[in-house]
Order: sequence, then C-alpha cells, then structure tokens
Amino acid sequence: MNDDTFTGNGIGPAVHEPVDLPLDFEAYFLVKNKGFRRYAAEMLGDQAVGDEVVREVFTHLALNWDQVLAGPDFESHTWDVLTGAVMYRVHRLRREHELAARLRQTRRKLDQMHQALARVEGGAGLYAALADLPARQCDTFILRTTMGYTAEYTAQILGIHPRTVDYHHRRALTGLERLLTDRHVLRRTAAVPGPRREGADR
Amino acid sequence: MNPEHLLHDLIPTPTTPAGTEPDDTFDVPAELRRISADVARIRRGQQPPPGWWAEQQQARQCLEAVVATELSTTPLARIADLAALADLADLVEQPAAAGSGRRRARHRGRVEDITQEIEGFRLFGCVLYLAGHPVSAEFWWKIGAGARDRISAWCLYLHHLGRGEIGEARLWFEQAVQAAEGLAPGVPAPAVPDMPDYFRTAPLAMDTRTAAAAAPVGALAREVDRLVMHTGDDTDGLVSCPDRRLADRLEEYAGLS
Repeated sequence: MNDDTFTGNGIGPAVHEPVDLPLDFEAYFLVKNKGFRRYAAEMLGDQAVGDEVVREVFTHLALNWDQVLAGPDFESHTWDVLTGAVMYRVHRLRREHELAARLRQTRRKLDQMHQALARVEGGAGLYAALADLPARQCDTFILRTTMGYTAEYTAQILGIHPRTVDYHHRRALTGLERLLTDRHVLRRTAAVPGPRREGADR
Repeated sequence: MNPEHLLHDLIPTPTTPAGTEPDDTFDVPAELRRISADVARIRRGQQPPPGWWAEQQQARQCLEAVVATELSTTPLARIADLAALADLADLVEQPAAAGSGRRRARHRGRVEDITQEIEGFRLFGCVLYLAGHPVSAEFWWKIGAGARDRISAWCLYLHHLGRGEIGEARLWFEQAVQAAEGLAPGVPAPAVPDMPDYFRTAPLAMDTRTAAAAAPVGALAREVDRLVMHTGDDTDGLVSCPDRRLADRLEEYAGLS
C-alpha cells in the first residue's frame, strides 16, 4: 500500500504520505491521545513540547505494536512508556525544579481549598458535602474533577499510585452522591450506575 | 430548589490551568499521518529514534533479566530467607496479634543472620516486581539497598532508568558500584569510568538472555495478589509482608525454573 509512495527513497512532506498504521493502533490513538497529551503538558508545563513527546510515544508504540499488544499488561505498559518518555524530556530540558515547584504550588492550593471547605458550615450544597468526605477522597475529587487534572498527574501531586487515585475518586463520587441524595440535593434515582450502598436508593 | 438528577450536573466544568488543556483544534488525521511517516522513516533508518527508546527498553529488559536470574538461581535454602521475613512480619504485627509470644520465640530461632534477612528483602522485591507490583518492589529493594545490598541498589537503578527518572537512577547506580568495605583481600574495587553519563549506558552492555528462561509467573502472581492490601487509604493496592505460604509457592517456582 505504501510501497509506491516510498520508492525512489524520496522524503516528501510528511502530510502527503498515506497513513499506514494498524487499524487497532489508530483506534487506540483516537481514544488515548487527548489524555496522553494532557498528562504530558501537565508534567512539562508546555503543550507544544508535550505533543512532541506524545508523538514520539505513539510512534514507538506503532513500531512495536505487535509486541505491545502481546505484553502481559497492555494498559500499564503504554503508560510506563509515556511517563518514561515524559520524565526523560523533563530531565533533558532541566525542568525538574520547575515541575517540583508546580507540584508544590498545587499542593498549597489544595491545602487552601481544604481550609476554605472546613469553614463551610451547614448547607446542603456540593461544597458542604465535599467537606464531609474523607480527606484523600476530597483531594482526588478537587484535583480530578474541579481542577481537571489527569489521574497520573494527580498521583504525582499526592505522591500516591494512579490506581489509588482512581479508587479514591470513585469512592468520592459515590460518597458525594449518597450524601447529596440524603440531603435531597439529588433525586433518589439509580441514574448513575456503579457501586452503591444498600438502602441508599428507594 | 429542584433536585438535580445527576451529580454531574452539580459539578462545575473543570478549570484547567492555562496552557495545559489540549485545544480542540488538534488535527487528529494530520497527527496520524505524521506518526505513520515517522514510523516509516525510522524503519528505513532515515531518522534516529529518540534517545529514551533504547535506554528505557534496555533498562527494563535488564531488570527483568536480573530479577529472573535472582529468582531462578536462588538456592532453595535461601527461600528460607523469605520464610524468615514472614516471621519478621509476624513480629511487626506482633502488638496486634494474639498469642504472639510463641511467634516471637519462633522468630528468634529462625533469623540468625542479618545478611539472610537482607537477601530476603531483595528476593521479595524481585518476586513483587515479577508479579507486577513495581511500587511495592521498590519499597523492599530500598530496604535492601539501605542495608548496602548491591543487587537491590542495582535493581533500583535499572527500575528508575527504565522510567526516565535519571536523578534517582544516578543515585542508585552510585550506591550499587560503590567500593564495598567488605571486599576480600586481592579483590579489586569495581572500576567505573569517570564519564558524566556513564551510568546511563551500563544496560546497553548487559547480557539479557536469562530473561527468556524464567518460568511463567501465573501461580506466583496469584499468590502475591492474595497479599495485596485493600485498606481504602493510600496503602491500598500495595503488597504487605510475605507469609509462609508465599515462601512455599516460591520454592515450587524456583524448582520449575
């Protein structure tokens, strides 16, 4: 399919070459590129450089696609490749201190939000309910949902594993839902699937 | 106030810090074309792959080789180290455990030797890495390396290099190649060329063939998963201390390899 284009060893402009990638790779790219690019930008503090790294990562995955698919833990392997490439770039650009400073700043912001939440008294709103969550669940909710960080960057900020972030976040969502349903802020429906405590509905 | 149906409706849209939210103008087809072109050029050798590829892949393979070698060449006697470690775990939990007086007595009887214990830390780290728990593995290797175990430090070095964490990799490399005070007379201290980035090239020269010889880890991994903690706090998903049953399984595993 691509042979005729590549004869003569000519390097034309990239955009004129036809796409010759495995179909499942393209699907994976469509699903993942946004999250990957967001994480890279968060870590590097720069979307353009982040995009460059993500392109390197996807190129690497495409080149080794069969191997990557055959691996024991596909999802965690691709993330390992991404975080490795991002950290490598952070080091090459000597941005370690900048990254650490940004993480510290976000942690401070998080502390301030905790203090603000602690001052919320009574009320039936989202923020009152948020203040009633366990601290870690509250942290992940603020970072993931309010600030919109990726689970992996959130993990960097909190110094815990991304899977633990996901776990806390899920718990936070169900916890909030229960609290808000009990306070009649949310209607008692089973509209959101997922683990719910017995007796929380109906 | 009208109750909302979904939690989602209550939550304000994320306000991402400026410059970190991917724009919606990102051209997916063009990006795919570029990736496809890059793949083709790298295949034809017209474009060098980025530096991290070889470095990190090699570091990961080396670590797998070290871990596999560590487990498959472990003399069965050393599996007892892990059992000793399980005893240690009993001791740590001792305040909470009932009838622990007997356990403590048993512990005293088993762990006579600190080096045996350190080997146990290292071995358990390797088991955890092999079973897909790198974060927990790091913890035990750190204990081992802290007790001047070079193989643990070497594992940590490869682990961090494979993750692009160059600063940490340098630290553990230096720890691993440091001249030990315990060198036998006549044994030369390991020689490390005085080059700034030498520590990053070491895996390129390592032999990774033993990695293929490792036995399948299925049963062992299931056994390790049994030890994963479900605490609901920040230790959730981490692996706690080994126990005797794991030591038994590991013995079987070492017999397979």
